[in-house]
Amino acid sequence: MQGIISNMTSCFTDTKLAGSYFALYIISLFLLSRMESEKNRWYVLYALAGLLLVFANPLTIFLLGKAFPVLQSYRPFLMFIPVPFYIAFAGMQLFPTMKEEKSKWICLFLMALLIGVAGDFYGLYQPAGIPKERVTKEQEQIVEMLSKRNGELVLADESILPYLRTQGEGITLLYGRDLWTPGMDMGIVDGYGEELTGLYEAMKNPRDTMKDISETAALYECNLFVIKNYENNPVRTGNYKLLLETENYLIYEKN
Amino acid sequence: MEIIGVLLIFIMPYMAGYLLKEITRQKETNQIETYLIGFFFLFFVQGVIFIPTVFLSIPFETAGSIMIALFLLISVAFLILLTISFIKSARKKKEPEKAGRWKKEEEILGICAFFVFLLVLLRIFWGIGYAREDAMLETVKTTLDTKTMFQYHPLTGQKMEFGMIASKKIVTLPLYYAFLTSFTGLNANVLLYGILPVYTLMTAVGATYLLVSDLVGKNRTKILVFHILLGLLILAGGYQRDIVGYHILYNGYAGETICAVIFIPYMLTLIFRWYHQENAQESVTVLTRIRYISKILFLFVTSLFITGIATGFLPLFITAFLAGICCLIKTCKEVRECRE
Repeated sequence: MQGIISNMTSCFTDTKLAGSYFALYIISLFLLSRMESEKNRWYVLYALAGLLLVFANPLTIFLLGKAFPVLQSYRPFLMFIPVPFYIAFAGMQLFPTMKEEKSKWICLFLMALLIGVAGDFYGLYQPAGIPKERVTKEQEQIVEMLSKRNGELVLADESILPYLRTQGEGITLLYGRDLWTPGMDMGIVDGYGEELTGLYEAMKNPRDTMKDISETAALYECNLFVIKNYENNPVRTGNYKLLLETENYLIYEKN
Repeated sequence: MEIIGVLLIFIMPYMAGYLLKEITRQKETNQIETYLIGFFFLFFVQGVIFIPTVFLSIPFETAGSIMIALFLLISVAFLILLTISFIKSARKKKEPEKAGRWKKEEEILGICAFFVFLLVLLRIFWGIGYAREDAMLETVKTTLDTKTMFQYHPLTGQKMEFGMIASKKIVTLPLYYAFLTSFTGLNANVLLYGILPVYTLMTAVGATYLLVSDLVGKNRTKILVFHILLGLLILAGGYQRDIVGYHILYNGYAGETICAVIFIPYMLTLIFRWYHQENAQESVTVLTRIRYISKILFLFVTSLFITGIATGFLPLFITAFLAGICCLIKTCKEVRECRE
């Protein structure tokens, strides 16, 4: 029972702010049902049907989530209800009901303010997981340097990995970011195996695992590897020598 | 050359839609609907062209050449038909329809709507440099680098041993974007994270305009207020994944965004129109019903080509199902009220 209730409220618990537009949506449904109720009944009915048949139905979510892992949360269904359209529609119906000109503009201003408070203008506040990482100058320089290496196999730290294939040209990687984000849902059958997963874990702390990293990189015939910088880093390790040291990264090249 | 390419991306849907409208003799569609029909058609056609080439392992350049030939054909056919149409209308010497004058309130709302639209554009361009979670850009670049389709792992650049499952191979949207990148000569980052979200946003404005104008009539005040509020919801909606605003700002190129903000509003428009036509006193021909069903099925199939089952076809299907049920319930209530 507790599991079912937590599933039903997951749009609020997954992240607190996911509920804010949903709350506006419920208010909008209420307003629409009060204003010209006969005419708006259609849209209220659609929204309620969506809620009952899909959104608030744990069984539907359970079944759909089994077939399509991307649908394991309620949030994707917010897109096809569709929540923002209802909020805008309710506001649109409310605006002309104000008799005085001044009241109309105050009403519009207040709606805008409410939307801004419920949301987040210009990404000033965002919960974890929302993309806000930009490539740094240092990373750009490393990407440019690796792009000139004519497709040599590279092992890279996860902080720079996303930019190597997006900002760089012709860089071939030992593993991609789908190693640690299994929900990418690309339908690729090829996997990475435990050894590469172990290597990824080792890359998080190169100070203690440098020998393992260089041995595994050599085993997979990587020409280069990029790790996080740390104090007293070796100039040579296994078959590799230090090619470049930047503020946050070390780049080793095969001898 | 790049500017011409970008302009063609924006104009091509209208050309394709105009062509389809002439071929299917649909005179009742307005310019926005013409654009939307062409928009869907281009996504449908890219699937029809790229899917067999993927499964037959035909090089990307060959498929790209077929797409270029198609674009050329659409452009030439459009110019010919447009010329014929101009000549015909010049001969008829028809008086142009005068649009009603805008009231002061509508003018102010129009300026506000335009300002909000510009803010959304600014926000989209401001977000170009952010890393994205999906692999669309990598897939586009891998396709361009290797000149093959879905044979190399997009995130590593290495050749795949076992390949991809068939249900993902039919989602050919990244290949279409790779084609557009090579066609326009633009940087893939700029096209995917800058141009295509704007393209999606503008088409979404058209789709929502069509939906709202069908619901409230040609009430300019209401339509403008709707779009101002929707724009603000998008602007402030980037705080959470799976909110429409987030998808337009950060994933405007993604198939699921296109489904959510363009396919779904147009699907609802079609269902409302069909419902109102059935309810009106005039008889609805079988051909009209076939047209509506064909358009809805067309949207279903196209959604498979751009985002697959879970995030495209399924939401569309559920939308159509729910809307259909609501129409049925409303009809039953009205029939009961009539009888009483």
